[in-house]
Amino acid sequence: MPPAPPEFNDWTVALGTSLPGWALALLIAGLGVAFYRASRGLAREPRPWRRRLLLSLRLSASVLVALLLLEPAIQLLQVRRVKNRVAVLVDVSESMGLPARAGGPSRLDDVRALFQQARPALDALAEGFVFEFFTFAERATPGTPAVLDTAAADGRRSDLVGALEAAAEGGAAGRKLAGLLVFSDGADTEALQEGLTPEVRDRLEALDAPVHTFLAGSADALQDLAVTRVQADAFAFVRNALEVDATIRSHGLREQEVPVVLRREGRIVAQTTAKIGAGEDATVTFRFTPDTTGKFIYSVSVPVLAGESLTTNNQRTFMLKVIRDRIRVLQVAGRPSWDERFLRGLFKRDPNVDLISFFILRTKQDDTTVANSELSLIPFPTDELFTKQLKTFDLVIFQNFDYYPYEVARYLRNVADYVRDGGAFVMIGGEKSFGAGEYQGTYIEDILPVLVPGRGALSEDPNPFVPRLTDEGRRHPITQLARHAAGTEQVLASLPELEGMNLVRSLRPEAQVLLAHPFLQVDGQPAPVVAVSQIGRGRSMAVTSDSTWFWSLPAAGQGSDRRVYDRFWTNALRWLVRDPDLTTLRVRSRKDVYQPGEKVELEVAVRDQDYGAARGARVKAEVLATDGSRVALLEGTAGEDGVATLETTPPTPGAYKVIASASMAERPDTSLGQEVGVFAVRRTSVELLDPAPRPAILEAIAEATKGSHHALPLSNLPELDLVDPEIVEVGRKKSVDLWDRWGFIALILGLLSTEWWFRRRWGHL
Amino acid sequence: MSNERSRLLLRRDLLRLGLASLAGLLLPGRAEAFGASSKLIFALLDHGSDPDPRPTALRRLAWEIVKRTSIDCELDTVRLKANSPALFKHPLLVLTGRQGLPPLSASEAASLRRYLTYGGTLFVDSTEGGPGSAFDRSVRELLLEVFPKQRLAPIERDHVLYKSFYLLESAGGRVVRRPYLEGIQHDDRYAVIYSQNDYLGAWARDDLGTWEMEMDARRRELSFRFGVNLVMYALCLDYKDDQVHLPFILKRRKT
Repeated sequence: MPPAPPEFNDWTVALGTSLPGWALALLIAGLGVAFYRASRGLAREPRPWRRRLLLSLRLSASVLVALLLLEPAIQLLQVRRVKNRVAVLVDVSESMGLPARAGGPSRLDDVRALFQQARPALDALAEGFVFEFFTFAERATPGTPAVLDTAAADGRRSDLVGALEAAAEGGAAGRKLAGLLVFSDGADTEALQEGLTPEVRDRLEALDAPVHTFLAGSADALQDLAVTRVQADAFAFVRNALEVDATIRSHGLREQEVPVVLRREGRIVAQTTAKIGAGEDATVTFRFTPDTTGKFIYSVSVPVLAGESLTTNNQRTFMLKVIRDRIRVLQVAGRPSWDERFLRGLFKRDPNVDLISFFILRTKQDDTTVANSELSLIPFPTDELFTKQLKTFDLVIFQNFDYYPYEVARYLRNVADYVRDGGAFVMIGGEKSFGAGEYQGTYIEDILPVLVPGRGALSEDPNPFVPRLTDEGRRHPITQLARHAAGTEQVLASLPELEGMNLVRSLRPEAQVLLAHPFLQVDGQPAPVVAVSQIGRGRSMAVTSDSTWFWSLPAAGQGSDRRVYDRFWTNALRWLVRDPDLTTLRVRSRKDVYQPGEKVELEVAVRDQDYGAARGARVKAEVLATDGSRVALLEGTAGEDGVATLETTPPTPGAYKVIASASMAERPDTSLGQEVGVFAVRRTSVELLDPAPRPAILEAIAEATKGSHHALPLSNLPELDLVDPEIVEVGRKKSVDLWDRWGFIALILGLLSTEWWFRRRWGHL
Repeated sequence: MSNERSRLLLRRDLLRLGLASLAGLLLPGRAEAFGASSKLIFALLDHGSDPDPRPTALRRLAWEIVKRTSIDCELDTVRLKANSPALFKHPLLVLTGRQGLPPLSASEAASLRRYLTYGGTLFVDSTEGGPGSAFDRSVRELLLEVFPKQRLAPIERDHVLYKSFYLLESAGGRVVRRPYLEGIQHDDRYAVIYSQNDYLGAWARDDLGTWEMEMDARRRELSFRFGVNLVMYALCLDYKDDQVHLPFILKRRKT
């Protein structure tokens, strides 16, 4: 049996004329003229009521004729109102799992309770609106209210505004958004961190619908001391003071002074105290000076106080990359010489180098009869240089410098300590260097790659020679003087001979000789011309010649590559100060700071000796905790691009060092370098760093969108202002013509006939 | 290093102090262990037209430099052609004369350009006459061949050349034909320094100790001071313009 035809429940008037607009206008104008002429013709009528009657009859007839021309009809309609959408969003981030009230249920439980108790009200609302349900944390996820029964508060972030936007954009096509209902504690970790900024306000207004906010949780229920925010630049310049601001927030705790500590990978860098009361923020500023370049994990922490609801947000970790500003080089030369002059010229031309030079221009043996006022000489500021300023240098160069006459002996230990702590040192040859400079047995000898002869021992060889590239030199970045080692050998052979060298006693076991004398031996090994060594955390280099400047101007004179000098010393500088681009191995963590339980992904990029991608290289990465204990040993193989990706299961929270190393499969005993990386695992998710309810933010959202704000617990849904539907959907329609009827025509004829009869009777024809 | 070692070092320092005078007597002087590269040797440009009218001048200046400064200086000069590869081992070159110079060959001009561009310094000193003299005209032409796009320009009085060792007020010399020096800059340094005041005449002294040219003793001293400054500038570049020296120099200039 077919369904009964639906009733028409609405109507509208429609015009059915097919005449063009201009024709209609012409006809109506004609009717107007006819009416005007009729009124002029009645000017002689003395009785006004007769005039009014006749004009009324004519006007009525004219209007009916005009309607006839417009072909009016009544359209009968069957309409139905389209239900608007109401988006309901429930926060399921971790903070919603915290107690809503002291000793009470969780914030999410309060939301569940309302949904159960307000079911009749929700069902009633559902008659006029289409409900769309979402849970949200990092993002909004569509669902049904039934998911609340099993939903866990486990989201690691809260993006409230993002969730509102996603809910507003989604939904059934064509349905207008009547409003949004948000059940949350307001502890947003994204756009609302800074409050309702103008930008956020714009985003909320763009929703074009009221947002009704329901606050879950009460600040009174939370007893917590948290490091909620750390403001630090991503980069800092080494040996330049920087400031780090940390915001400490207290909830439900009495006013008190708490110590705030800044640590770098476990070691205290600075500490201060913050006086903070319940519900207050306190900002402390740490000012410190990083003394080493590299990536470091820093943490700001406050103690865990008795009775705290949450103990994982008492520390906040951040990464700081300490980079060099300009490479500060201290060049100390025992006398002016061409070797000194060409090195100074090179470093002065380099915009990345801040060169501080001290040259001994006059000794006590020289004529000192001229008054100081006529000289530009200044005292050698040994104390300033070798105590106060020493750590500000990236590299210290002793160039043909004998320390003893200038009372520098007392500072040699400082120089050695500076190198062991990460500094760099070069001794360049000459008649005042190495053994001739009486460095044997000094603290400086301890940091040289070579041991030097004592007084009276043969310490120099005057004969010219062409230095030989050693096996270590073939691979080392300092002696990369051409694209390949073979090219470097050719370059060296084409250069002018070096003139004489300092002889050393022997090499340190860990030293690498990069250039050696072609036949002279020391201690059974080729006499080193250029040797390098790792000294503690620092690096040192010995150049046993005072004529490397021959690789500059004299090289140009014989048509050789005069840039070898620049390349050699620039390479040396970069290696000594650990230029990251000079490493054959680089380790990078995908993220600086991971969330608890998140997978740690390390990318190790390996280059071969010729600095090409070391495909197939065997890569190892040792993950160490701050106490030095090994957490994981990861192994992998570099792909075509020389990159190996290593993953590890998430370790416990804290800062970690990664010591990556690599070797070629066919040369397992040959290292392709070692590099240190860092990463950290948070003690807590971002979500719980500041989990306190934020009623103000929810109120502000409601105010900005013309919604309403309510606080849980509630036993029923309050009256909500929602946008009524406006769109109608046409089901059936029927057109009933008004003009195409005999009564309509008869009415026009009747009016005209009546007018004619009266005109005739009153003498107006 | 242990404390014991520190004590040893101090003990050795004290011994050194006690034996300092003896050390100089008992130990041989420094052997010629390093080649000529470690010393300053004046190179004289052999232009083929009486290139050394003041043959004792540079030797005497070298002697004064050794006496007054820590610079290790060879007394003997070397005379080199502009296209000699050996020229490039002597970054300080002197050009002098008392008459017009013959023009440089293309290879000589190219070699001199290369020398000056890659770090060499040329000091030109006229013994003949002042502006517009045959020597002056030929020097300017020669430098045009070497640096076609650059001209000699006066060197400012506050340039480091006037304070690289001694504090000097102006350019001197045996005669003051021009109260200033001229120069051509390359890479923020003067690659060419030109004097018309016969500095070499002020420096010249024969082996018997007789000054070759009569002049005021103070002016001669100032000429030597300029010679020392010239060599210091060649060896240390703008060292005395470094920030650390400025307060001292400004204070002394005021006094």
